[in-house]
Amino acid sequence: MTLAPATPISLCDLAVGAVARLHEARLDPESCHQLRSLGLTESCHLRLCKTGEPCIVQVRSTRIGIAGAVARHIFVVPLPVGAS
Amino acid sequence: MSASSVALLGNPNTGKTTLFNRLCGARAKTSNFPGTTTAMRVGRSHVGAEIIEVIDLPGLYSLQGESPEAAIVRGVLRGDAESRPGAVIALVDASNLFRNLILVAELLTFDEPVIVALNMVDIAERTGLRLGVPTLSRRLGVPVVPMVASKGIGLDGLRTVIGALSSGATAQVRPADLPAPGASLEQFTTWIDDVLNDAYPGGAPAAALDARTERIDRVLTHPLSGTLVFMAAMGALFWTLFELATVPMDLIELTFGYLGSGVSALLPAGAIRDLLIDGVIGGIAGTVVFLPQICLLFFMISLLEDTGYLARAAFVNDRIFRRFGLPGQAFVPLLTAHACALPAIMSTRLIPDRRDRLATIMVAPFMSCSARLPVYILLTGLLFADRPALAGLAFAGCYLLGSAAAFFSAWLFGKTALKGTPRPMVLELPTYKRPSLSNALLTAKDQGQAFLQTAGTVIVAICVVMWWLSAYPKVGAPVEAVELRQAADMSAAPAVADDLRARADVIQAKAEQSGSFAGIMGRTIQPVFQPLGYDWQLTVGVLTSFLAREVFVSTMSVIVGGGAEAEPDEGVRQRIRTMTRDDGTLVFTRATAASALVFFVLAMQCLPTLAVTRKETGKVKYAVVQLAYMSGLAYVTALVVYQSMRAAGIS
Repeated sequence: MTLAPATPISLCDLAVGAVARLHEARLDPESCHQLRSLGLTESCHLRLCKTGEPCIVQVRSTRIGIAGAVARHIFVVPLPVGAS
Repeated sequence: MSASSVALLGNPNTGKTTLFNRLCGARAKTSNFPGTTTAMRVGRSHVGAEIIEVIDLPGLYSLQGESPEAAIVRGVLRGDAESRPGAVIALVDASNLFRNLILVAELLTFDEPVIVALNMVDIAERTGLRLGVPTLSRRLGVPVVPMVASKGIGLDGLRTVIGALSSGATAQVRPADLPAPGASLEQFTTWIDDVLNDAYPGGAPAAALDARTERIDRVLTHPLSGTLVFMAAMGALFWTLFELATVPMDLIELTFGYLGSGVSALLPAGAIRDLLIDGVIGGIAGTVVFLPQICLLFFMISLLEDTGYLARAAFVNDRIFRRFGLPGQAFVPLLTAHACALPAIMSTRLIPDRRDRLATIMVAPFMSCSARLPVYILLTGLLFADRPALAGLAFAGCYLLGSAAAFFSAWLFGKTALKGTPRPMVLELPTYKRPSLSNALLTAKDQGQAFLQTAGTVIVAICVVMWWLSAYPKVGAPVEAVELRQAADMSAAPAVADDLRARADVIQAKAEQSGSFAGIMGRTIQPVFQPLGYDWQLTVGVLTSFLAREVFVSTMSVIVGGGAEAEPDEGVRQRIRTMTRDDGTLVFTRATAASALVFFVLAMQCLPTLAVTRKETGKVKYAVVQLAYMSGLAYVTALVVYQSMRAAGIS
């Protein structure tokens, strides 16, 4: 899944509490499907609740624990403070 | 289409089990979906004057993808007209509506009538979510029933709608703007966004942060505090398990003891009586005695799962376990295996990925179960007879060795037979909720029933066969025993006569053990165990313990002329310590005792566990590999220990 170019960074590099837009997940199809079925669909907004291994993100009302091996292949575009 | 059946579908953590239990009560039956090892619960529920069948489908997030659960649900929805359910109840969490409705949107592309059960509306309202239910119903084109399944609120409304659909009174027309079958998740997402913008007055609200969940997660998922809480929670779980299960386990043993005595008094001595008492009753007792631990364990796991903590515990353990090729969720089975490998293997159902589940099943029996305790006590006592502190250290070392073997084997399987790394964790962390006691009770009942129905029948059959091997062919009473009995008959002192008869019984039991098929096999197979330092007597002990480890202690006790008690007295222990080989040397040198101890830590000596492995994996080959690998590893390690100690001059 690939979206509009911006300045994407790895989910691992996002600051805790920051909101970002999902840019791309460079993962195998099954892992991509797993993320999408949990709500991490193209361009969705997410918030990083906890950094580290694993990290926690919140997509809408769903909190998802993501292993570092997956998180480092997820690229996001940080959104300005106040975005949701 | 079967009008008298409905299927229950929903995301995990939406209260599906709660609703199923509310609809069907304790009358549900658990089996597997045809051709799979995925459990299926089917129950019956009253809808008006009718009784309908309710099928609990596996929890899942999407009908697309290659997961076994998605394939099963698609199979049910596309099944032939006779087997398809008359309607599907899609259970959704009202406080997490957006993600839940994606599955509903996918479901609407199938032909089945759909009812949306909008669960946990109380939680949604508390968080300020005000949903226009009629609008949502209109946009989806299906009935929407608000409810709180845990309190039974909305249940009557749901039954009414089920009844109307079953009778064919209402036809459903799919929304014109619904994405076509096979549309991408993004297309369904866009559509649900539009639906919710309509259904929420003023548009769909932005996702609110759950401050309470954030606060608790900060502690429970922290590497340090999360690990400490996990250890405390597991300590409490096992303390409860061992403390509370002891009472019913003792009662069960007592009851079967009385039953055996009753049958013994009713029937004349002979093969039928022996078969009933030692084979059938002994076998059933050996199965049922596990039941309290299994029920209690699943009761507590259900409570933990309901609260949302189980997902956090998996989260905390994932980082460590994954280095060894195991998923974070493997912690429950591996800890459970310290009580008994049977419930441990059954609890691997919590692990979604098949490779990860297989890896966990294959290594769980390495953990030192409670059946190994009497063996450890006996052998560490023999190893360090005069140094109790060292015996205690050796005892603790057994637990460490078992755990190390489990993690090493998981790593090894990951590099060979189960190639690949465990699927990196992507796990929903549900909001914290109050657990449901009735759910936990019903889960415990279901799991106990499943254990008795599946493993139980196999275990009893195995016990009967092993009893036969140990009891036949019958050998005549040895001359020494006959003479002792004659002396007892002639003795005037009752106490002396009783003592003589007891000694005669012991001598005869030892002769029967030696002359039985198991004894003959022991003598035949002894050369295989010679390099480990075992003589024929110890080989018989090892062979009979392949039925169940604890049998080793009673077998050795019988061989040295004690009774068949699981915990022999000091006199019997002393006789075991001083028992001799045919050439007059000691059987249990320090090297032999260490070799035997290592063998018992690592070997697969539990046929019921193999039966459950076959059942849970769906294939005999995994049970065969488990037996061969564990016993092979035990043999090689025991060989190394024995030969190294001998080479070092320790005997």
